[in-house]
Amino acid sequence: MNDAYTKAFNLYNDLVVNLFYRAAYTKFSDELDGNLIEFRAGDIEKDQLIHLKCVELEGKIVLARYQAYGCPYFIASSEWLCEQLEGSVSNKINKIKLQDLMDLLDIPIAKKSIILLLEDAMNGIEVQLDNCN
Amino acid sequence: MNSSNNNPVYLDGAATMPVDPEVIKVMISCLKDKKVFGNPSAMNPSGRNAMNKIDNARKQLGDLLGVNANDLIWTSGATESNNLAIIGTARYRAHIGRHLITMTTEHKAVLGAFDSLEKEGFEVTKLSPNSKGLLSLQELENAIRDDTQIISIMHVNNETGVIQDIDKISSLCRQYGVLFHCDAAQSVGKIPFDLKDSPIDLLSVSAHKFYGPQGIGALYIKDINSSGLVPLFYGGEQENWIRPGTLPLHQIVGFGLAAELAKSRLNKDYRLMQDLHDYLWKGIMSIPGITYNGSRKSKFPGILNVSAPGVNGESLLFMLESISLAQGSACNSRNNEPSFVLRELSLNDHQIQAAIRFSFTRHTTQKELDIVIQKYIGAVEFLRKIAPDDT
Repeated sequence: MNDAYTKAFNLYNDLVVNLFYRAAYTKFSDELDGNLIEFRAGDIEKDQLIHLKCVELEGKIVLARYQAYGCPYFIASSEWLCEQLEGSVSNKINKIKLQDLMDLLDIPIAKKSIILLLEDAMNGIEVQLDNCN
Repeated sequence: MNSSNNNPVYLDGAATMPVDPEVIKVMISCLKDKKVFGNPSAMNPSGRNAMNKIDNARKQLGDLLGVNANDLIWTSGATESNNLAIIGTARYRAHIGRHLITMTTEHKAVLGAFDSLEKEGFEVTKLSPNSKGLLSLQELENAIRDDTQIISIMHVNNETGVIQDIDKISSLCRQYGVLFHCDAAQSVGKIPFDLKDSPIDLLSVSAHKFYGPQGIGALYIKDINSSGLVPLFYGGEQENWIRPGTLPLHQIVGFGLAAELAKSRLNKDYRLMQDLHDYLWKGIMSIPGITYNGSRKSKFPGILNVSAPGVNGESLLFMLESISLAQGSACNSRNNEPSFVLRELSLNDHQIQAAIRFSFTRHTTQKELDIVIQKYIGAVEFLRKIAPDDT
């Protein structure tokens, strides 16, 4: 989907495009054993809303999924975050460097709120993960 | 046009139309022809030849509008025409009265002119439309005061395609002795016009909205010699001293031919717009929750504005990347402010930011629309699927 038209206008880089369309972490399955932990951040009125749903088993996130409403940067960032979260254990979550996404995805400074919002969501999951243990 | 990535489907005709190949040809020939190289204001042979071509273009545009060619003056486009008509006449008549009327859904070129006049001490009444985008004649009549000098109402709205009843509006203005200006940038060359017996006093036209070049427009002034209008620019006698500056020959000649072509193709083009509009709407109307923005009865079919709630507008545009279209007004599309026109139609923020304007050209095909329908439905489904359930 990353066609010449998008590239010509340099609207979004390849990683944004690939993460956006991949949508590999959007389908939730409740068939896994473990504790369901969820966190919702943002507001549709502000054009950014994420609902994170994770399954915790023995201190580890065995499934991380998202539902998101927002711009392509926000969707792509949500996909990236879930990729990082899945397989993480409690004390590793805070090592996920969301700030790096600004460079990785070439997120404009005006959209820095995306990172702040996802940090909130990630911290919300981390707190609940700690509570499970 | 095909729909390959290097040649996207173009559905942004309300922003600008592709220049007709015949217009391009005549413009290039103007630039190359040494016989018309001169300044049109010059009395030498080259200048006179140039002025003859300009006179011919003026006649071509006059024929399209059904007016005396001498009642037309060239401008740089509809934005300048609107400013000149509104500010120029308001200043000229300021000693008689300082009350002006317009609508909240006008183009920014009109609203900006009125805002500027407010700073000069004029009082402006901005009337809101109903939820279909239409102006109530009764509300307009109620707003007219003894000191009202000008009423400016656009013909076809650039975002929704809604058509105001300018025949009735201009008659009402005549009844009360108020000047009527109409921004007809989106309708001239697309909808049959005959201003011969019309009470419209001032009318703004733009060439690039009907397959002419960008950067050239016109202002029709009824009985130009007896009308009063204070120029915006000074320093030359061109255009009856109303709009000084060297006339851009190739643009004017291109404009004239575009007007002639538009006149000859008017009915055929209009039927095509209707067919394309109906075809696209039929293809997407089954999307759950989709709304048709603006009146369906009183509208120009070359524009279709719809909203599919529950999707983010920026992501929607991103997914429709191979289609040139507009989210909100094209002139406004570089900022993220919700469309003020759609807000006036009582749409909520979600409907507004998810609003897409499809606007057709005479080159648009149903085959292209098949691609658009497929992509649009696919994008809406995808974005709704990944969104939280309660959006």
